[in-house]
This record gives sequence, structure tokens and C-alpha cells, in this order.
Amino acid sequence: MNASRLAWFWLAVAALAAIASPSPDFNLDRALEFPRDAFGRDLFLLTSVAARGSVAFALATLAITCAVALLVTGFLALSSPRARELAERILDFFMAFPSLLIALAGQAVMGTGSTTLILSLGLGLLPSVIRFLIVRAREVLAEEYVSAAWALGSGKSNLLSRHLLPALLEHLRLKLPFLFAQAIGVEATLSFLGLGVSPGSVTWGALLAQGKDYLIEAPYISWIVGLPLLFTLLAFMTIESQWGRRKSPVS
Amino acid sequence: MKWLARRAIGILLLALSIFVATHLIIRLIPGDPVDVILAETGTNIPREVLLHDLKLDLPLSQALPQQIRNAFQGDLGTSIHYKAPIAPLLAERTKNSLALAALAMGIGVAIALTLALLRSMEWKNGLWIRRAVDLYAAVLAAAPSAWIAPLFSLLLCVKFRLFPVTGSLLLCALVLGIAVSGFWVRAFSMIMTKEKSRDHYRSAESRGVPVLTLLLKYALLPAGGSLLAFLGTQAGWLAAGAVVTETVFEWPGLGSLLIESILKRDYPLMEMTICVTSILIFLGSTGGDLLQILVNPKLREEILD
Repeated sequence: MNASRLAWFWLAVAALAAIASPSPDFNLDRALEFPRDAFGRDLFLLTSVAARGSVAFALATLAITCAVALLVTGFLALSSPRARELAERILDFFMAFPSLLIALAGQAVMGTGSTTLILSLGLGLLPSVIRFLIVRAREVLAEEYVSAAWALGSGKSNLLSRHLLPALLEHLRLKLPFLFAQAIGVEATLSFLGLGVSPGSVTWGALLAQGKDYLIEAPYISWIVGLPLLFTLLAFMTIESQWGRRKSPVS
Repeated sequence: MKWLARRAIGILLLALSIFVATHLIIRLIPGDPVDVILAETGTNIPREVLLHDLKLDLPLSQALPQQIRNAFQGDLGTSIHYKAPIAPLLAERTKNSLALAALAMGIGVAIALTLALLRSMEWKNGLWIRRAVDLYAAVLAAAPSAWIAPLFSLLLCVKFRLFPVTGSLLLCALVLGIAVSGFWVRAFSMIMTKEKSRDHYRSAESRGVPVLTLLLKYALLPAGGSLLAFLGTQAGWLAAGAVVTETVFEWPGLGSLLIESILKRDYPLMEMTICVTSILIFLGSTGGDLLQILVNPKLREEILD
């Protein structure tokens, strides 16, 4: 209970900082003086701006991923059992690969850049989200009220919108903090490796890469950039595990 | 035996489909890959040679069977950046990566087992120990390796000068092992806790078996199969972590090769690296399942008869 309150507090503070911070000015004369980066920008402001960038990426990714995952799951749930089984086998195969590796392959194929990064991140998260939703869809379809609706002659679209979609949405909501943390973490790693955002963009990963490049001259860069990232990821995971424990009263 | 043969054929077929799928990558790349290579690397290799190296001089229906035939003869194509055959390069890198993965897995399992055991013992200050272990697990499960790897290099190479900054297998494995251990501590603890609530454990406990024997023999050993299967599923996570740690510590494995080939637009090399890495990850998770069956007499009889 305490930990999750702390998590919400941190997220609120971080969100405020990210929204309110102006972009720091370049000042090459003061590069790598304590709290400044290699271009002489104030690191605290820069980290807040980076949080804005990373969260924007994560939000765009999650919006696309969730929409596609819901569509695919809805389609699979109402298709023939054989098609569903085939799809699940394919998903099982992809589950062996963490989202980072799938996103990495996506970037390799589509090339680096901001738009492709969102698509690659989404691609990386997609198998686990669909897999997660499909299990729930099967549960819902086995419920008695669904069979009753079916027997009373409600059509597929009705079944989908009245029964399946609300249950899936609720289920997905529980998973959102985890997916958010994943999206931010994978973005940071890809940009760190030089395969993420286009050079010059300010995100957590780009700053982590700078922290590594100037590790000896300016070790504080890694700390000022990395600690808020760690706290943010921890906060999301804490909230996820709390929601997981509480679960929805309905199911 | 029939089951094993079926399994082996399945693995071979899957490896073949991975091979084919990775060789379609080059044709999926938006735009003309030859233009991309010429523009981004400024190489002076003639266009026709590049086209041939990328196998774009033939239609797909001819190029693919040829590539599969060549692969069976040990020819995986030519790297554009290294201007050398890919097969020996990949063999070398695979060896290095397997060494890294084995060592990192050993370190990760050692840490996770120790902490999970510590957490399960009934200490006087048990709550604090449990909290400390949980904190370790949560922080390391959340912290991206892109952040901890440079910090470890700062601490162990620059401050204490224990390792050379680049090319140290032990350092690379240590950081990778620590990075994955966070999640493993949690998984191991969960498996142990489940085992501890079962009858055989409780009866051994009430017989007065010493606590360490109790945990090792009555909680850990019965859970051995699930632990092995779990470790198999972690092959992918090890590979994902290795991409970062190999790049940071410049260990010549598959992970750093993958990043290098992507950045250098060396498409043939990139395709084969993705192919080999995926097959290894798949073998890892299948291997975990197989081991679980082999160590469990009940499952073994059921399947091998």
C-alpha cells in the first residue's frame, strides 16, 4: 500500500516536471561542468524534457499496440477454433523472443527514425499483448452469460461489443502500467544502442548513450539521467503488481 | 523415441523457416537496399557486386533455393563490411556468445538461488531480509541494462581497476548475470514458496529435518524440473541483455555483431546473425522443456515409451 502510494507520488512529480520544464539552452563554453551535458545544457531540465519525449513515444506505441491487439483478438476469438489454434502456436513461438529483440529486428528492417521506432516498439509488444488478451477472451466466451446471449440469437458484432470488448478492455487496463514500463525501457535501450530515435532527439535512451560516452569525464550524467528512469520504471511495476493483487472485482 | 524424432523434425523445420524468413528481410526493406548501402557507407564496391552479395540479382524463386543449398554446404554468403565469408565469422561469434551465456547463466543462477534460499529461511529478522531481497529483485528487474552496464564499468574498471574496460568475458558475464538475476530471484522465490506449502515439505519440516537440508532437498529438488524449464524460457532474455552488455564491454559475440551489422548496413551479415540468434533462442527454450522431461521420471516414462 505504502509502496504504491510512493509510486503514484513519484509519477505525479515526474509528470509535473516533464510538463513544466522548458527546453534548456545550449552553452558550449560550459560543456561537462557539473550538471551540464556535452553541449552545455542543464541536465535536470534536459532529463525532464527527455521524459516528455520518451513518454510521448510510449503513449503513441501503446495506443497503436492496444488498438491492433484488440482488433486481432476480437477477430481470432470469433474465428474458427483451428484458425485460433494456429494463431496461438505462432504467438507461442514469438513469446520466446523478448520485445527488445523483436523491436530490434523491426528497426533493422525498417531503418532507424522516430516513426519506425514507434512501429518497432509496437511490434515488439504485440505478441505478448495478444497472447494475454486471447486467454481472457477464451475465458469470457466460456461464460454462461455469453452462451446465453448466443443462444438468444445475438450476432457476432453484438457479442463483440456487449460482452467481449468490455471484458478485454478491463483486462488490458490492468496490464497497462507494465506495458508502459516496457515501452519506455525498450525505447531507452534501442536509442542507447543508436538504433532508436534520430540523432539530436532528446529521449532517455539518447541521454543514457551520452552518459556512457562521457562516463569518465562526467559520471554524473549517467546518474542524473538514469535514476529518474529507474524510479519511473519501478513506479509502473509497483502499480502493476498492486493492481494485479487487487484484480477486478468482476472477474 | 518416436516422440523425440517428431520433436527433432519439428525443430529442423522451424530452423528452416527461420532461415527463409530472415532471408526475406532484404526484400522487405523499403527502398533500394543497394542505394541505402551506397549512400550510407560511401563504399566503392560496384553496384553489380553488391547486387550479387545481396542475392538481389536473381528472382526470389531462384535465389532462395540456392541460398538453402549453399547453407547446407556451409556457405552462408559474404559480408559486405568485412569482405569475408560469413560462416567462419558467425562460428567464432557464436562460440563467444555461448561462453558468455553459459557463464552469465551460472552467475545469475548462483545469485538467484542464494537470495531465494536466504529469503525462504526462517530468520529472526526475516521480514527485513525478505524486504531487502525483494528490493534487490524489483530494482534489478526494472533497471535497464543500458544504464547498469556503464555504471558497473565505471565502478569495476575505472574506480577499482579490477577488469580491463573492454573485452573481458568475466566482467561482461558478471554484469549480464546480475542484470537477469533480478527477475530470476522473484521466479525462484515463487517456485520455492509454492513447494513449501506442499505436504511432503510440511511433513519433513515437522520431522525436524535441519533447515538447509529441508530447503535444498524438499523444496529445491522437487522444483528442479520447473526451474530448468523456466531457465530455458530465459534464453531470449539472456540474448536481449547480451546485446547491450556485449556492446558496452565490446565482447565479440552475436549481440555486438548484430548491432554492428545493422549500423553498417551489412544486410547479408545482419540476416544471418538474426537467423542464428533466433535459432539459438528457440533451441534454448526447447532444451529447457526437454531437460524438464528428462529429470522427471514420471514425464519421462509417459513420453519415451
